[in-house]
Amino acid sequence: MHTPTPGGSRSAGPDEMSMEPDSIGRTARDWDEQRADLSAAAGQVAHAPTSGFTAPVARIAADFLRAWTEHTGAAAELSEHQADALRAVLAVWLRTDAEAGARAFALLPYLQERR
Amino acid sequence: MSVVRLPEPPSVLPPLVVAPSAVHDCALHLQAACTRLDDLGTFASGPARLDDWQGVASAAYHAVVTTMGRGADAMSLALRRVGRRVEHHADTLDELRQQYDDLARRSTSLAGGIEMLRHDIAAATPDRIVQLAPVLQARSDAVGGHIAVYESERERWVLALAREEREMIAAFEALLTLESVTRRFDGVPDPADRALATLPAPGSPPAAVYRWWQGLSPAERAGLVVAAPGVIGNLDGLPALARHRANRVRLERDLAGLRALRDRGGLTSRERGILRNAEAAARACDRVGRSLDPRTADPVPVRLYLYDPTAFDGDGAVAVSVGDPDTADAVSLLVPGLGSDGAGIEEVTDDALALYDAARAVDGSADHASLAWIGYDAPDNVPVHDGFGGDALGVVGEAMAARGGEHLADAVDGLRASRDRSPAEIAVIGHSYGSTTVGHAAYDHGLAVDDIAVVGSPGLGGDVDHADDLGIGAEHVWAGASSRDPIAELAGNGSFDLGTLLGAGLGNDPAGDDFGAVRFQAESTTRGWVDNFGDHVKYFDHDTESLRNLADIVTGHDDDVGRASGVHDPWWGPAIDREFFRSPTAATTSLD
Repeated sequence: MHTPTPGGSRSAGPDEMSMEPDSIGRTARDWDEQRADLSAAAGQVAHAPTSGFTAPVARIAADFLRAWTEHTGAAAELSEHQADALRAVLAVWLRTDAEAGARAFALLPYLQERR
Repeated sequence: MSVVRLPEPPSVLPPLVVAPSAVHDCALHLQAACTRLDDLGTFASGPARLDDWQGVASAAYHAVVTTMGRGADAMSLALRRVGRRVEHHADTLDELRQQYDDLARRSTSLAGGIEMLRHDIAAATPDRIVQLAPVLQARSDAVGGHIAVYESERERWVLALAREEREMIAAFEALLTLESVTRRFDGVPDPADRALATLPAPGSPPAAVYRWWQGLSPAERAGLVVAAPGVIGNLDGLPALARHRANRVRLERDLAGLRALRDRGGLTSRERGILRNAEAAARACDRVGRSLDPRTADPVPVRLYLYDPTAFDGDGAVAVSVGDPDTADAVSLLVPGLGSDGAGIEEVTDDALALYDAARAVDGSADHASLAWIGYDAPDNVPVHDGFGGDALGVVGEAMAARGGEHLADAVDGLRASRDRSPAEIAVIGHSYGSTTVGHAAYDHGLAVDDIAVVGSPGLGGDVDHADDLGIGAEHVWAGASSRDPIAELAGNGSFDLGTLLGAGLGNDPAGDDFGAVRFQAESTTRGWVDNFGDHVKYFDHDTESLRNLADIVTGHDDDVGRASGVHDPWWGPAIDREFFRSPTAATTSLD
């Protein structure tokens, strides 16, 4: 698919870009899924039990789980950013493509976060 | 006066408060989280790349995605390493705790030995003590010798615990920050990828799968369990423990993901079904995990042998083993019938637990594993709550049993292949429509088992006219049928049988006297006066003839199986079952 770049927003780059809006929309949703899965994973790390360790190990285990809950949570957030960024790209494309009409209607659902 | 020198009492052991099962649980949480990071790495380097998108914005996007993918891969490898170390820690703690218990027993016993000596010395008169002194001193020296050995082992134990704690702490500390993760794992190839590249093609014989698995390194195997649990968990030919580990990881991952979605109100109807199957599998495993062996009082090993909650259009495929199929002397597979789906695994697992207990009660010298197997797509349930409807029964054909038979034959081949070096006695037990599935497995594909038993069977399929047709010898084909079981009466017995009348029979009656199988007694002391569905579901009840006989069959005690007269089919009228008039006996199937 070949489509005009939104006016004035890409002064440093080429005037045109190619994209498949449907792929962008699907991938945004896939990133949403990644975000949901990684949030669940962060919860899983957070709730991993430390009660079975001896006291000296339990202390560092708790630190480890806290740190990795953050690491995994950060990956979830980053996934959400990708989904949002792709949605923003799609929104710009929809606004600037004068002939988008009917296609836009079909793509509108992708602008909604499903999860 | 002679003096008897007493040894110093044994040193007190330091307190030990650990729960290896909780540590295992911790490892499982980490491994399940790890699969999500692995998925992110795969996604970022594949579908997320959007190669058909070009331009300035896409360049920025691609740069971010590439960095995320590398980061996720490194995080996955790091968390996998720690998860594996935690698993090892749990096993080590378990061993150390057993050694601790042993040392504690010995310490108490040795302290008691000193007390007895002290008592004997105090009780002796001055004259007597002169005589007894050498004997008492010898006893004291012997106790002292044992204490010296104890002290040495105690010291070794203390050092082993300290070393294990240090190593576990170091493993946690080494990968606490993302900087350390990047330093250690950025760009490091995943051993699971190497292993997957050599995975035998779909449809390969289980023996080839087993050889492939045996050729992998420990790191490759451990990697696969986390990186590809869906591939490994249900691969026929793999040892049960490997399948169990992969399936537990997948189950934990599913539960965490789907419950999180449910809590946010975002579950689709398909996902609700998957969650229902997953939760049933978790409960079934917990139930077995809480069970104790009736002979040893040790926890019974549980194996999640099959787990695919999405299989068969969401009905799910699940198998849970009571006992360890990798090591048991005898393994029995229970194949349930109508209405069985993933969400029903708890009920079949209860039957497997009952059979395990009964088998151990019958023969305590042999290890047993009893596998509740829902590995085929069974027809939906008959509307028994509304009474028996002939029309509902009539629509149940053999097609699903035929497809299920293929799965069952593959499962048995897988079990056989994984026990190549130490074969087990394998028996398959089909209940109700499950017996039709067993019949198809044996007749259509050949079933590599030692015994086939069916209970409450409506027939083993239209092609099976005689027990010999099953290919394992008629003397190894067993049939149990309560005289009050209306489903068993659907099986074909000439021109005047119920099955023919309703069109619902699924082949000749395996309990018939001309079928050639060994019919065993399967009446219940609580049977009804007339046919009723309740008597179709009592075959695995404790203290019934049926369960006792099944236990004898799966443990190879063929001579102890209580025989019953076959259903007789006179040419002039309906079939006659002499079991109808026999008084049922109360059998013992447990050690309680």
